[in-house]
Amino acid sequence: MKTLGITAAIGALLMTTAASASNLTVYSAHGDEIFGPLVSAFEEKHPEIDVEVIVGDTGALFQRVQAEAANPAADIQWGGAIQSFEAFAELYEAYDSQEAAALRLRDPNNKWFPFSLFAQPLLVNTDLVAEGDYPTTVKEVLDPRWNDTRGLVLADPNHSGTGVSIVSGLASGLGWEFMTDVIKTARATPGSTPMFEAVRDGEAAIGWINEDLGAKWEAEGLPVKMVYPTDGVTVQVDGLAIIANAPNADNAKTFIDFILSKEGQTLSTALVNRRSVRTDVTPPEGLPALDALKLFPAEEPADVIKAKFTAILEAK
Amino acid sequence: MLTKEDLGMTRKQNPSSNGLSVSLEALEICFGKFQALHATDLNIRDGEFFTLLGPSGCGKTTLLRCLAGFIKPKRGRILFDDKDVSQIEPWDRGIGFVFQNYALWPTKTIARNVAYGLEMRKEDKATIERKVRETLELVELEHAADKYPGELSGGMQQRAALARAVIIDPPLLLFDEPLSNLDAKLRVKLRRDIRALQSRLGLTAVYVTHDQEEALDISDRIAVMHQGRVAQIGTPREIYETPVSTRVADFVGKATFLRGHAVSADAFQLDSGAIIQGAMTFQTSPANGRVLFSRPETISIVAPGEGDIDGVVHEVSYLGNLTRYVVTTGCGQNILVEARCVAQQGDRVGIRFSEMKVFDDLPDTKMQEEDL
Amino acid sequence: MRNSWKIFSLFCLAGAILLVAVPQIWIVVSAFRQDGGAFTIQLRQGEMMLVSEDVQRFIPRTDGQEDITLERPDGFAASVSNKGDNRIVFKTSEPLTIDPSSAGSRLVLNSDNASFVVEQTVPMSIFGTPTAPVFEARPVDGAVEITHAARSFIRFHDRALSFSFGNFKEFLSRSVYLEAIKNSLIVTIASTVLASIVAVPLAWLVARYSFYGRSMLIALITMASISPPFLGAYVWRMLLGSNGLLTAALGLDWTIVGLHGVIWVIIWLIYPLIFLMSLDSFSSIDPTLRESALNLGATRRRAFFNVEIPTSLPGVLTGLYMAAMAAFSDFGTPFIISLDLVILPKLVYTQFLNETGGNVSIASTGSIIMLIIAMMFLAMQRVVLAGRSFASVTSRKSELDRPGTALKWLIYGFGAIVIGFAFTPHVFVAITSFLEWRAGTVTTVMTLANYSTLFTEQLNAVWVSLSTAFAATMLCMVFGLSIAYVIVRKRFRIIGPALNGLVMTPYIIPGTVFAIGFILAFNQGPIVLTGTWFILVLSYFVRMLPFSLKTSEAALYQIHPAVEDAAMSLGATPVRVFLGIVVPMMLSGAITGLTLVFLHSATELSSTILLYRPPWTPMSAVIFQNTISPGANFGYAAAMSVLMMVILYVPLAYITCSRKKTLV
Repeated sequence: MKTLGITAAIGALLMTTAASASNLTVYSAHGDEIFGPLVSAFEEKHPEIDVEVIVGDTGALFQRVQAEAANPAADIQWGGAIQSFEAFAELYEAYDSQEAAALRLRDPNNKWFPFSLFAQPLLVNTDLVAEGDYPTTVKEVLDPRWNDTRGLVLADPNHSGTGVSIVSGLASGLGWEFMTDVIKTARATPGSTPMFEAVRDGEAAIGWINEDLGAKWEAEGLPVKMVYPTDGVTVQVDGLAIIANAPNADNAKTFIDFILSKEGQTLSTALVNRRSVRTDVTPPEGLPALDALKLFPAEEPADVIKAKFTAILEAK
Repeated sequence: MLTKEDLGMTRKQNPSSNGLSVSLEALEICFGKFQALHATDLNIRDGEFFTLLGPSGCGKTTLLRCLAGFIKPKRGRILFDDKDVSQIEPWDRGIGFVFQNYALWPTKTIARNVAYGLEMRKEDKATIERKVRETLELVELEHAADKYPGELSGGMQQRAALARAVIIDPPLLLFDEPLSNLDAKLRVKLRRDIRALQSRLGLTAVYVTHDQEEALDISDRIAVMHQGRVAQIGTPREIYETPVSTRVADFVGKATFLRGHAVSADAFQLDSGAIIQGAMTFQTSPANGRVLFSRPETISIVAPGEGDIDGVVHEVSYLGNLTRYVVTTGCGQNILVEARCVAQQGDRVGIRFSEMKVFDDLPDTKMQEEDL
Repeated sequence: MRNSWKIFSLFCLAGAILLVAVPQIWIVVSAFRQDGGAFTIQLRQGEMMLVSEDVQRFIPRTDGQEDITLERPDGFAASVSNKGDNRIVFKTSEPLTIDPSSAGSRLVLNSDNASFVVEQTVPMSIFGTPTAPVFEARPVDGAVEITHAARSFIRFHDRALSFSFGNFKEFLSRSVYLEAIKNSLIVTIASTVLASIVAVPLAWLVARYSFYGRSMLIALITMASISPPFLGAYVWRMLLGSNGLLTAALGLDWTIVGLHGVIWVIIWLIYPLIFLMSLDSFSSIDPTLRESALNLGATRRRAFFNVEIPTSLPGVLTGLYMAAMAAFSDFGTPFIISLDLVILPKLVYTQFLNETGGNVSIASTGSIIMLIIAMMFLAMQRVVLAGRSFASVTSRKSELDRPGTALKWLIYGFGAIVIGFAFTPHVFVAITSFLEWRAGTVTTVMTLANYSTLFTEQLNAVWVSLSTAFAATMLCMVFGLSIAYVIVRKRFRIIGPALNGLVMTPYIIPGTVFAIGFILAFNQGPIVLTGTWFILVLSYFVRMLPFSLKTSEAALYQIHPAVEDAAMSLGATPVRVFLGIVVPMMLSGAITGLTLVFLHSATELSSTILLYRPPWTPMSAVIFQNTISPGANFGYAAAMSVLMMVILYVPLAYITCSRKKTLV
């Protein structure tokens, strides 16, 4: 009992002394390899602002922000498809950033801001698929040849923003008849990361990938190969937003301005290997020009995609 | 062993006795709807060794636990020396309790176990140490003071438990079948030790057991209990020799019961038609006499035709000091005889009764068998 | 004085209500609440059509008309008619009014029994100059005319909630949810049975025989139960997946990914629980019971089945129950090891924490169904244990037999296999912590960089983990012992079961769900704790208390009530009896549970990641941060895991050594 008392006392003491000096809290779905350099650059430019980053799973962060809505603990939420931010729009504060003019796209309500843009080509596992067998079109994912090699994976849109982008984009470009076959053929993973890793680890022969990650894996010599299908590639935009009633709203705005600025975008393009959301920043090397691709952005909203996906899955 | 006086223990006013008297007045105990003890009146004298005897489930342990205060009565009173203790908590009663399973604390040494009661009484360290040593000597466990209970045999553990109970100088010591987990020989030795210690310390003891031999051996008085009621109270001799009912007669000691009806004050006709004549004590009116009762040691085996009834020796068990026979009569009734004589299995013999009692009915349940 | 326990129980009940019922009541409420349903219409080139898949609780009426008409079983009807010029009119069987909170792409339309949120989604162009799409409403005779973008989806969602069993009906009628229940039961039962086949015989051998390295074996198995979260599943997949190191080395066409892999990994997660609890109860069997059975002519085997198994059953069953619950509620393992296996905890987790807007009602319903299944497991345990007598009090310490040579090698072989499998993840992680990781995969380049970063940056995490886990353990000790006493001994009629139920509930609530409840309860109102050291302690305390409670209960079942009566008759008040006699006797058994509490608190992740806020970042959160994204530096996480294991093994070794006295 005595030790308990002492522990509690020490705990309380530390809590008062260590009461955080940070004046900008960021919930990040990105790992340290992405937010680290950007946050350092930001802090260098704004030494008066001390940034604290709390990393979490994308879905968990949305729910955390929602649960904390009455007394928000963080100022910025960073990472997640803009469609997801749109779905939770009431959690965020509108901000009219002066950097917005230079953006390729923006939220008309200024609730969320784009951070980066990436295409979602196919990824094949090169251990399982011989070089001559790489697909050239999306339609080839239905080819029976994948059945012998652990098949196709697709992120379940019920759990994944990436899944929504892929299904919605492909359905808009190639039609629901095709998509129905895809959903019936594929194994549905409970998130995008399991889909990526399933192909990387050879649990599946083929799936979709965010191009920045695919490029990184290829560069590391992992047994994967990205293929940009000629008949259509989906695109996704990753976003960030200021949390409504943020305790440090002004610093949060400064942060948004920095991320959207030419400087911030140039830095993130280099670091993250993702295409910038600004028109005046050149895309990273090694990725095909967007103009050369047949792009299918998401069209149908998440609710519709989820309902259709589930209906097809249940009829399977 | 040392005596109580040697230990310098001071007792209350009455120098001849260190105990107290216990009275139950219309005491009733219930567990929910189940009536564990029906209204009972009972007086236990100061310094008496009083035994509650009965088969399991008869309420004897419940009554004992009520005396200790672990169970509160539903109605009625318990008086210790005329003081109503019914609602007093067990920790304020100051009496000793010895458990069937010893209930020593395995995390404490024997010395610490024994010292516990004194520690609760906030005695000073030196006194505790001295008394623990003296009490352990009293039970001949001085060498085991620093051992843990797990390292002792069952008999030693029970002696330690006894020491733990008596060290607080209780006027009343309660025993809940303390010897039933021990082997037969140790049981006999330890029960004598308990009796000796009780008389030496001069305290009142209430002892619960289902072992009638044990009860007869050590008790001043016995209460035979059955189904939550006291069936009979008396000295061991009274209980054994003049049971008030077939139930008591059946539970205490061995006996033969023969069905039939009394035809006169000294004649009883068995169901088979045979008539047995001789002196009989009637525990019921002669008109209601339906059962003839006799102890095996009062029955003798004689030549066929010379006794009250004839039969065939059905079973013989040689017990050393005597032999036990089961003799089956013509109409199939078994008679238990303990005697020193020579008869072989299958022999036709005569049976002679010398002490007979007549009851109104057979025990509804065979108490003894139920318990064994 | 007798009532002091009642007062204490009421106090605990109040605490449990505050810490369990109040934070988690939202789950119950949302499970029994259903909204009014939704439907989506699609507009394109002046054409309007209903998206037939996304119609919830409404029934479309196809009467050949231009208008879209839908009805609900309660009689409520809605219709949408296309007026051309990008205008539609929305009409319901009750007059609608436009709520002033309507703004942007979101309209709120109210009627007496419905509250529609109408949202427009316009396909986004990546290269266009954005303009806010048109979305305006004006009232027309109790209906609403909506002006919309030319190309859009409009979703009508009646958010008015009503209480019903509808969610349960839905859950129990849809194949995907039934599949989840089935898979959960398969995983739980299979892994518990298999784990007990490993753990119970081993525990019996260890309890019965003395051999060199015996206490080492016990210590190792206890240590094996500490595994940084998800680690086991990750490593097994790296080793035995399609491309796994072992699979590749052996040239197998095999993968651990799938239902079988989930069961395999869970076995090695839960068997220490069964082993430790079984060992405790096998060790505390009164040897005289066994000996007397043998004396009475029983064979060893009969003595085992007739005496040892029945007497040690409460402890073994408690172990099985705890293990089954751990298997039942584990979501990390299926998440990593199975690609598309639908299983309850995963379902609940993903429906609660979903970036695409989860289904809280279904998630809550799933939680309640998990709760009901868990209660059935508990009831089964209770039924088997009901009427079981107490073990005898003062047992002579078991004399350990010396095994014969064959038996000795059997024990060694058995132990080695079990330890080997259980420690595979740990060893693998330890090795990889010295290797460089790039883009989420391990290379063969040796490095100490993982550790140097660790020691320069994150040592604070060690302190946070240890202090929170220690404080939680102390709380669990105090309340675990005393609540077990209330439940087992006092048997208060309503308070007892209520307390038991409430205390056990967090054990089967997924950690993340639990944490959301904590945030909802303690982020506002009278007690604000979020972001503090205390909320971590409280969360660990409440989530781990079941361990402490169950092991304390098992310990208490082995203490005969007479030991308390003995103390009472010697003048000890109930409080002194409890503190001076019962607690020391319970501790030797409860220490197993407390060890687990400490270890699990120090490695807890699922609620931590939602509750922690710097500077109170525990080690588990640091590990998580570095495993979450596909590009993360797993080497750093591996180094932290190694540090965590080393730090936890020290107190563990201490406890195990002090246990030797009571066990051997």
